[in-house]
Amino acid sequence: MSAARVTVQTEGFDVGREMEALRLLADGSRRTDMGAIGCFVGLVRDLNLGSEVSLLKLEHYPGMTENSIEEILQEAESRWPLLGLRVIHRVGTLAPSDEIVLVLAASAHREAALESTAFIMDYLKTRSPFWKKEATPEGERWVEERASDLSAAQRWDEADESVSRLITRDSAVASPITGSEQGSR
Amino acid sequence: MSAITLRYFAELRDQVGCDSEQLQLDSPQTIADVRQMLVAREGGWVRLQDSLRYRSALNHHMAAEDAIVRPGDELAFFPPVTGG
Repeated sequence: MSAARVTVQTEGFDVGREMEALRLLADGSRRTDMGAIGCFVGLVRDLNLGSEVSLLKLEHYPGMTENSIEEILQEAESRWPLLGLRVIHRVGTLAPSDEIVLVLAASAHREAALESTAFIMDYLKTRSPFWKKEATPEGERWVEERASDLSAAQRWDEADESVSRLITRDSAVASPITGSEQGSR
Repeated sequence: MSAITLRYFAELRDQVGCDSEQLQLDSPQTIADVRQMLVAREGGWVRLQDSLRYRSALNHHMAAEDAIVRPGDELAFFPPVTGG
């Protein structure tokens, strides 16, 4: 592996360029084993909880963030047959319509590519140390976690448990970093 | 060195008015012990009592409250994450 597959950066990214890079071998030729690439791009919206959002400030925990996402990718690789992964997450000050996050997941077939893409986003949103602050007409406010994100992440745990009844497996992925237990908040 | 590095993020940092500090430890403590030391400062620090909301990471990994903190370690406290 030459370039890092997880990057936290302030700069924007080019989805096409990243997807092309994922499809290349070390010698510059295109891979012929990939049959599907799942792709998710998260964007800054101009509205949240009824208030206009003019700016979004993202901070993270340098030293822990990249490791956290890498652990999630390794968990994805243990669940699906994946041929390539790429995650870029921006930090800093962003404006509505800016891209925030990119997840690419390549496989031979589409089920693994699409499901792992969704899994990585659901886990990233509940486990990786990023925090968002919105600038609204009413002032700046920190974004709070959502029950819907916790539920989305939990569905992968339930799906995994049903498989685990047949196969015993150790999971190295930390528990969700949330303010509630089992969505009781 | 007998100190640990404490780090605070996001809304918690705003509320305690500090993003990082060194804390002297006479002996290894659990995260729960360190949390209580900070809560005892009163003011904005009292909210650290809520260990469900303000989670901790020890040396860049999520940790349980009974994990041992030793000199040279980095211990971070933060509210629920909101990335993605």
